[in-house]
Amino acid sequence: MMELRLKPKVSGLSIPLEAEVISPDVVAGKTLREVEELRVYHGNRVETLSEYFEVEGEVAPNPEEQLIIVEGDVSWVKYIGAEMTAGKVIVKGDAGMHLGSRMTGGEIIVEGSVGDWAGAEMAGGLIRIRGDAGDLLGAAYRGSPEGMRGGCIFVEGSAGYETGTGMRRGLIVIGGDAAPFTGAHMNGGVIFILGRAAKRLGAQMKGNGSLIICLGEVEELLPTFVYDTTYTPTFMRIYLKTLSEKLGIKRAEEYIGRAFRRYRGDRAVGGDGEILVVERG
Amino acid sequence: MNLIIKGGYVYDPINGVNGERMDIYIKDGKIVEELPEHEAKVIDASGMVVMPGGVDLHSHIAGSKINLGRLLRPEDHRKDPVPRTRVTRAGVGYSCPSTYIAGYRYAQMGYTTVMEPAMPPLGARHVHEELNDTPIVDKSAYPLFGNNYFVLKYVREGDLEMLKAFIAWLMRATRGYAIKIVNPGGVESWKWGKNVEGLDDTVEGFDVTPRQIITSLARANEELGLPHTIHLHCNNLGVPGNYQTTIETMRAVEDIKPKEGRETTIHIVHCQFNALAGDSWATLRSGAPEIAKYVNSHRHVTLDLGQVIFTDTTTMTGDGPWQFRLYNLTGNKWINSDVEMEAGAGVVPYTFRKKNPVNAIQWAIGLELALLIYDPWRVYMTTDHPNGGPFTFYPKVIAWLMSRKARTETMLEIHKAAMRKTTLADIYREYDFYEIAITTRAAPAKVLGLREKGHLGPGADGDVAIYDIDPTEWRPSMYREVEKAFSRAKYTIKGGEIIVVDGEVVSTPLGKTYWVDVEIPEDLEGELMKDLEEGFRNYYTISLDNYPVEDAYLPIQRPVKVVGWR
Repeated sequence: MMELRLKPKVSGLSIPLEAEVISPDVVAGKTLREVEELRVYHGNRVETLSEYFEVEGEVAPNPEEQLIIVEGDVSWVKYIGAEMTAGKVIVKGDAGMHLGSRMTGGEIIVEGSVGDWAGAEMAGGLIRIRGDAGDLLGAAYRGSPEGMRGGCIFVEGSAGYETGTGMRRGLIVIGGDAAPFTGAHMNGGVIFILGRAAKRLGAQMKGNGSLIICLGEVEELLPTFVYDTTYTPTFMRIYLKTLSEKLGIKRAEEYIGRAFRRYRGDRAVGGDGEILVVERG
Repeated sequence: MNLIIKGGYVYDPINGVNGERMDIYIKDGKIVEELPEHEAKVIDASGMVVMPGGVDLHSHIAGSKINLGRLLRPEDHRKDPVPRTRVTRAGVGYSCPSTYIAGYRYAQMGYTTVMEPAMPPLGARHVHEELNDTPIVDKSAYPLFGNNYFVLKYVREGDLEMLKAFIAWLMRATRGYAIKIVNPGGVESWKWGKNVEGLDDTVEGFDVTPRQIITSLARANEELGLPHTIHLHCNNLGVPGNYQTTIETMRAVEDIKPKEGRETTIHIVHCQFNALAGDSWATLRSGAPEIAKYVNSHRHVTLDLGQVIFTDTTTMTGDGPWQFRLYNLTGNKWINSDVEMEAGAGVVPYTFRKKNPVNAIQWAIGLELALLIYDPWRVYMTTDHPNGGPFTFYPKVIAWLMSRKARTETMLEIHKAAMRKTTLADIYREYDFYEIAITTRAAPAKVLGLREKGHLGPGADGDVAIYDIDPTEWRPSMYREVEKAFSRAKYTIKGGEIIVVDGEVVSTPLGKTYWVDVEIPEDLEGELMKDLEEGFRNYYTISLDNYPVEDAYLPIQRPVKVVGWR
């Protein structure tokens, strides 16, 4: 992969920068000079990328071979890797809102934490967040009937409110705690919560195989989720092994062979999704 | 500014001009006979089509309903942002466009007159506020009458004089233009969770039938001599087998005498939704041939298509019970609205899909209606924006009408039901430019009674659309060219001012608002006011004095004077 490095010239802008140009799809095939001239939006002003970043390294001819490394904290930059289709972006610090929103392929790694709406309505690819995620991770934008449609998000820390709202397909793994309303309006897809799951989990969840798996403690389930059975699902073994091998979540293997309590709902909307809660002890 | 449009192929059906090369002269915003060349700016239109500005008589562009749609659908806006330019404002588009964008986009297609067809009288101020923010086009709005408390009351009492007086008063109070009726009686019954299923069902709480409401309003309309006929959204919309209700409705007003100078007494809106045959969604087929047969043999009916476009759109009608059915069919988000004494409404997002048999049949029905009814003066092209699809798809509908090849290609892409359950595949008729000029401007202007619209004779408003397509070279196989040309007018001229050049808006004046001003005899008005005062005191949430729209809401108004009582 060919490496393009962006070094922030400023730190902590009070008005955030909208830079959807920090994406392999936009950068690939351009010259370094052209990359410096890419347009970014600061408030109501249109400015160039080079005013905020030092640009160095190599530009690949096509996005598949492009690696973009953002060196430093860019929690003031929005839309990094939005709508990207291929390639790789590494952020060596925090990132701002809408990271990887609507992306369809490629990979984003954030060493720090991310703002709200990360991976919103994404349809493919992988987002790996070493720190915490903000609210509405992998969610549907307001009004949309469908949120995340594919791909995978892995947060090592905790995730905020309404994670995976309106999720249709794909996988979200939360290594830490999940805030309330995780998986609200879910209609497909899988969410793993390794930490503590807060209230209103899967509210108004519909069905289509939507599944929330809680490996940690659950604060409270909605009364519209009906207890069904306690069992040891066979598929869980494959899932947990895959998490361990592909995403490097070694502690997932501890849960192999454990029993799960299954709840179905949300009956308030005639839903048929499932919440699996691991049995203690 | 004076203008001369030189050398174009002019299509002006009202004056019988069919593709002749001639010059059009505009002086002080009006078309004139002749003008010396040195006094005017000359537009070279050689090799192009010149038509009067388009007239759309049914498009939901302003008011509480479309605004509910805007609120309901942020995702619809997100996919179509429109940045501002030097002369135009920013906004959003697609199925619920912002007011400014609606005005610009109509002008870009060469349309200069657009009618908002469903104004709840209580929401009249809102409608006029939005119309004032819809630039360029001339406009008007039709107040809803079909489920109004006072209308039902006077129909029950059989008091036609009071009904006429109420119509005249409400037209002035709301600054409305024509009588709109939506699912007569059905929306009133919906307030009790019910609907009416035919012309002779009884309306809940009132001892009247939809048939009585329609015929009374039609009779009152013709006796008053309003410029337009009644504008009717039939009962049973969207119910398989409803074409019979539609024909029955047309038959119900057969013997009503039209006002002088007009032959028609009823306009059926978005007829496609009311031309379904079959017993259920599974056995659905087209009822368009039966409707066309009736319309071809009776002079008193006009209708518009409500053509379906395969896209993601937002349905919105004053027909609350139908929108509830649609919500149950789709499971989409839904807004229901009840306008206390007067009307109701519903909004449901809907996607017309190519592979859905019902949608495919609906698509074919719209075109069947347009092609099987021989007289283009009585069938108008609309998509019932945004119910069948956004108005920005009109050029596509024009291409379908003008080219069998375009229809065939679409038919091959969509569900086979369109071929099996309709007669569209057997229809070889293709509209020519003359017929397109009739169905999109001349005929709607005529049925609306707008004398200065829809033609290019002396005295007409200087509203001209010039499309960059050579009709002498054009063949139906070149339907993509015609779609392109009609999407972006070479020039749109409104009131003698150049508005659009090469599909880009260059100027944005504010159009005028038409409304119907009928003088009510004094004694009748006194009696009516007594009734209204009592009704308002007992049942309305606002007082009678605060009800009528003030002149301040209509900066540029054109009242159409009507002598209702002789």
